[in-house]
Amino acid sequence: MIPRLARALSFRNLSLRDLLLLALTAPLLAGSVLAFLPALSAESSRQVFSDLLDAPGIVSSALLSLSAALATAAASLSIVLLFLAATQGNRVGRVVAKLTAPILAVPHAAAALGLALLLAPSGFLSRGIALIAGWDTPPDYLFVNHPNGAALILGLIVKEAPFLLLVCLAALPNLDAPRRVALARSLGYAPAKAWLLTVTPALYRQIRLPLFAVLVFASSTVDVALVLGPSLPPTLSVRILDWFTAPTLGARELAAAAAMLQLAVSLISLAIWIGVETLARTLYLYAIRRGAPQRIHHSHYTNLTLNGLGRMLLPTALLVTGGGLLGLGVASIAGDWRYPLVLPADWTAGHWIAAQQNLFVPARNALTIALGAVVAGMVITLLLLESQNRQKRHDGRLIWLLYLPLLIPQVVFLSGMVFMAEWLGLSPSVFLVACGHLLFVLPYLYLTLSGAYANLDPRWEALAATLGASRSRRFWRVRLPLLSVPLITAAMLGLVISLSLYLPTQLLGAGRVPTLTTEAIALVSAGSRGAVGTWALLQTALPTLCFMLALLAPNLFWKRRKGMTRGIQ
Amino acid sequence: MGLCLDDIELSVGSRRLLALSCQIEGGEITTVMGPSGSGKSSLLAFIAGFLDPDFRTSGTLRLHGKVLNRLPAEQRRVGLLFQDAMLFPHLSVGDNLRFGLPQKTGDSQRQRDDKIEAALEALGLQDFDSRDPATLSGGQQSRVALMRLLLSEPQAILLDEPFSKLDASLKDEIRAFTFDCIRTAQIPALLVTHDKGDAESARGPLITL
Amino acid sequence: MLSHTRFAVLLIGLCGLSSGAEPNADEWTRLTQQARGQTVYFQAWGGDVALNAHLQWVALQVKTRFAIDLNHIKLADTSTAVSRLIAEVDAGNREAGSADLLWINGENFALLKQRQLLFGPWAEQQPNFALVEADRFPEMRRDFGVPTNGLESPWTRSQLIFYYDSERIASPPRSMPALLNWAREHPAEFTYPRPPAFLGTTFLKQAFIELAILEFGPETLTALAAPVDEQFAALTEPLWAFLDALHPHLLRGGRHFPQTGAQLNAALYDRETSLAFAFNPNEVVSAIARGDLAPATKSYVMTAGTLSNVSFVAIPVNAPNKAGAMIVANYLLSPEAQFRAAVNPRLASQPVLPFERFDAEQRAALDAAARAPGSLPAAELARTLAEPHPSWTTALEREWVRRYSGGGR
Repeated sequence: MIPRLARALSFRNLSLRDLLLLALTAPLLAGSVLAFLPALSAESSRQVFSDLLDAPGIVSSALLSLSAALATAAASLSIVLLFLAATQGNRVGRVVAKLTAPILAVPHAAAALGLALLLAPSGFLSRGIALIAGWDTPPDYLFVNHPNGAALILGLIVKEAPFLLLVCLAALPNLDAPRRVALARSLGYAPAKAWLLTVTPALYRQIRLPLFAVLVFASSTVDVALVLGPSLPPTLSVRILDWFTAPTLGARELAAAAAMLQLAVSLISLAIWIGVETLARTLYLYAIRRGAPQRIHHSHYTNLTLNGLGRMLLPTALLVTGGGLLGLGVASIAGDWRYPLVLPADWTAGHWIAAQQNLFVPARNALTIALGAVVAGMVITLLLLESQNRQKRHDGRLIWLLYLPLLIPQVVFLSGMVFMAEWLGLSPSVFLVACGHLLFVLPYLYLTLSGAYANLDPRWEALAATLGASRSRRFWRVRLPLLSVPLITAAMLGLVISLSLYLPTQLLGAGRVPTLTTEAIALVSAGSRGAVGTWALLQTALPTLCFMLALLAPNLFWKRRKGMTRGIQ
Repeated sequence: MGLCLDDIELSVGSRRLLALSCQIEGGEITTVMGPSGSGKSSLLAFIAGFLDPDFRTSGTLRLHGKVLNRLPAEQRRVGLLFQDAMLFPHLSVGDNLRFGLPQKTGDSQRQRDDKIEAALEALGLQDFDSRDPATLSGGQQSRVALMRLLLSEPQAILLDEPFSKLDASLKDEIRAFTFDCIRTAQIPALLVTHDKGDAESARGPLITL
Repeated sequence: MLSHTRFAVLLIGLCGLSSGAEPNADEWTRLTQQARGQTVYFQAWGGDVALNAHLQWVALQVKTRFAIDLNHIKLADTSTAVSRLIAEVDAGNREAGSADLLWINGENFALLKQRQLLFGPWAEQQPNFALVEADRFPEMRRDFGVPTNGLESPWTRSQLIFYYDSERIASPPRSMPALLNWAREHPAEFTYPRPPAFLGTTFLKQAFIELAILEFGPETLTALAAPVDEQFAALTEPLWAFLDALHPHLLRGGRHFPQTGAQLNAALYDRETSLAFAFNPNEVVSAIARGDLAPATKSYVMTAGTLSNVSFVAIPVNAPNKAGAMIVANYLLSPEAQFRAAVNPRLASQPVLPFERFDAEQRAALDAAARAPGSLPAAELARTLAEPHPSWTTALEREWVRRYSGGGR
């Protein structure tokens, strides 16, 4: 089926593949435009925009979203580069990298809830200090939900830095970093600085797209902002959602106008970032042209600082998320845990028993949606890759369309897609939500698989053909099995992403398609600490399980075929 | 009859890569030698049917009188042997051999299994049917690869520097084994190599590009 | 599709009855049959674990009794469902809506009623509606002063109550001016949810009514029962002065407000605050039972009385399973369901049925429940304030947002 379809898609000029790509992204593009329609088609769109500008604190909201985007991207990138420069693939680096991977499976919302539990005035940290300082009531400080967005940015960094690290680790093997560093060291640069000066430029080129995705995500996140962001006023994305779901007259028009502002904010964050890139390039060249350092002491101190920061920051970020999860775990079984108790005075299984009664439907929905989106996404990705393979052509002209869901703020095109579904009379359903998830899963599947597809030794197919195997036999019996390890990895990554998605589920499902993620977020403000802890862990459990499977499955599956797990390709 | 290359010309853009005519009879091993970039690999890709569409070609390619130029690779019945044994890592040794076994009508599963058993025995690898190919020694892998090729009943064989990665000690043995098999099966073969020793033991015509 | 036509005929028959008429037992039996096998989507606020569990139990009951599949769609905010209904009908969806039953109140009801997006009248045709004795308790027919006209069925009662940590304070403030003075002496020990979050708006209304009566006399109540008018600025003046003075003394200096009652409870439990409030007279009893509040928490009612209302369920005009929705609403009114919700210590809901409607055994159990620590004597609960007209709610919320949500104080 797939090989035949792929052949149909690879007619030279007809480019059905481009049509497929367009068809896939049509809802997204239409959604992006439709999102603005209520504002533009209102009786007086000028009035709508002036209402938007009159909304209290709208400028603060927009600036908050913008600064969260830039700060998150800059800090995450610095943390990761410093870490890589300081460890350079040594044992510490490898261990930390291994620990980082599972953090990716922790949904943003759960990580944020954990962080809040650690750092709130009545949180773990404060209880620890209370033990020493003898406090009996929590101090009244504002960090979580502070108007400056510091907690929001921190919550984003602890998730985005691990993401960027894994992206970098995937790109590094092709860059021959050790040789670059050796060369620079022979010219008198200390190791960390040598790495930063020689490897970063080449590495940066490869991680630019994921970094842009981080910027856009941070500028428009909803779930993290709901937990950690300020409330007076909240981020732009949260306000869009508020207006979008408000029953008052004119609120939808306001939401649409705010969606335009959101798109502008995300684009401005990208523009500023590109400006900073230029500046960084100039500074870089300046640093290079100053020449190699003399072997003097102060560069030694720079190196020590770089090394220290590099080794400290990323593990701290991991520790924060890990500690948060641990905190959620304690909360979920805590009985009496009144401040200033560091640990609960008694324990209970009550929250888990209560959750278990409501678990079935959300878990079933979450799995159905994730499996549906991943299976469909896999078929589409293989179709695209196989048709490219047939044409012996790399990527298509339109392949960038696939990445749009990462580069347009979710809250923008999803609100448009909800209008579209309403007009088409599509009622919210598991199917509709799965279609929405497909858009988000696809780019990751494609990113993960296209490399593996291109890197597979072409001699395997040549060999199979000379042994008389037809195209379809070569695809099913040779290519797919040989790619089974990256296929499993991609599928699991797809599941992890789908299982953590909040906004598409909430908006397209209209609240009628509860998943573990939507249930957990619904409890954020309304549930007790124990219920929140329980559901946040439940929300984390499935993606983590998928992640473990991705690590273990190839070895189990190919237990008797050593060549498959040794990376022969 | 055999494998017949009639006024073959390969070019990329305006650059002519090679021009060649030759005739290889059954059991004959013709050697092609030439520096890197002389188009040796492109020649093999052309004969086997994998040439990148960017190449322009002219001339006629015949195998036992049948014109191959426009046939897809899997219908040409031209077998390939690479530097690496390239045993499919996801299949057992026996299934590697079965992969290329032509599906003939009236051929029962039993008969096919017998064929594999006989082939393994001929290689001295009895009871290796379900073994993981990754556990075989280099020499064993080469022999299985050759056997897989022969079982697919090719009408011509292309050898792409097949012995260049083998240890010196193993090389002579495998080379002799391979060439003997080709001569016994009376299949025309084209060998591309850098190694003078290969050309000598092939004992066939030598073309230098 | 055949059943569609039959159902339409049935509904016309049912709704054709004037709202005061006796329910027709025969029609109801046929409705019950019609509802068999239907899946009812009940969109209701889902922030209370005990309430969610109760609805889970209701689902089990209607499944076994009436073969109805009841799905509780847990809303973080009821306005989500309301705006969705408006959008659906705007888009021409008049039959296949996403909700069959809605828990709505006040401004949401007023909005949907005014836009004619509710099905009915149907509520007074329910066999169990007679049990609430609406003629004796007129609040069963008024939602924030707006007549329900049979578009809504009552299912629980609520009243605003205050509670405090008796280990930290001996005597709590019993009026709004006293609250301000108390907050000045106890900085950062009180806060309220951010309007338009439901509970925050409730506090806003409570403060507004109390302060307006203090300033302008009890006749203000007449103005509040009517739609909001040009007196708004003058009447709310004392409220804004009060809030401007109060905010600097709130938890986090009034720079961040919680969202829900659960967060108020958490702050009280962890000794961040020592005073809180809820829109459920049995909040303290149930929260102590759940372990969300310390046993030393005590509840009280403001001297001037506190806001109280009845909670209703309604059926959207485009609900696909109206028969099932009515059967569920009727079951929610049954003495059995009302008793179960009231006697469950974690929920401790306030029944809409008069005490005499329960049997002797149930009455004994309810009496015992009323003696649980944290519960309020009936005399205190009798001091109630009526909800103002819903338009006041909207206006108050809008003004609060304008004044305080922009970041400045």
